[in-house]
Amino acid sequence: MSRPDAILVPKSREHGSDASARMESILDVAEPLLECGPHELAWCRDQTTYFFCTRSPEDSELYPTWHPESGKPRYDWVPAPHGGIKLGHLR
Amino acid sequence: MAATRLQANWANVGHGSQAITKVTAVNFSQGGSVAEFAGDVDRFTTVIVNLMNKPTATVTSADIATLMGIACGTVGSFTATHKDAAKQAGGDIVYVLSNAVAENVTANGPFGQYGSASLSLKSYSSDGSTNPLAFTRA
Repeated sequence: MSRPDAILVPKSREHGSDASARMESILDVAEPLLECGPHELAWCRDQTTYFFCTRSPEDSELYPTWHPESGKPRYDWVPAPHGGIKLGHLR
Repeated sequence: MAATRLQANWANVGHGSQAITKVTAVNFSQGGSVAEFAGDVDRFTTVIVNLMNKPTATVTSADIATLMGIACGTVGSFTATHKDAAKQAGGDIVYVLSNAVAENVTANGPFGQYGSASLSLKSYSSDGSTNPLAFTRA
């Protein structure tokens, strides 16, 4: 199967004593799962109860407000083998 | 030397295509707030829930002309890199505030000191669900 376009990481995976450490704990999970290439970065957003991570800072979980499919999911989600993480593939 | 997990100073700051230099401070806020509820015979709040978040950013720069040249209402992605304190690879934190709308610019110049200007930005979500404030490391 192709590499995921997005992942959802539960807040429970966040750990660390300061903001930098907490960010790193999420990026440590996101980068390998997103299979980032040498010039790609994993971009994560705090969604209150989970982190939404993709390879672009401009991605959105749902279709944007200007899109005909506005409000509907952009990804098909499947559970990852471990840790409550979900892997998303663009529809 | 490994990344220090300490940040100091800012680089690669910009709004849309406009680079912003001479940066002395950047502030990002998740803009969270909670809504409290009490009813009936309650004398204390019984529910507190985070219903709304309004991420914001503020940048302060000595390049007053550049900041004053950004018209209020201009929309673009606001980017800033918080550098590793010891400039170690992989220690920088990079922020992008998507759909960042320039709200206001103030300029300030006390006697006998360098002048500066501050640009405040508010952001909106593309889909109403995704946080416009994203972070990564580099």
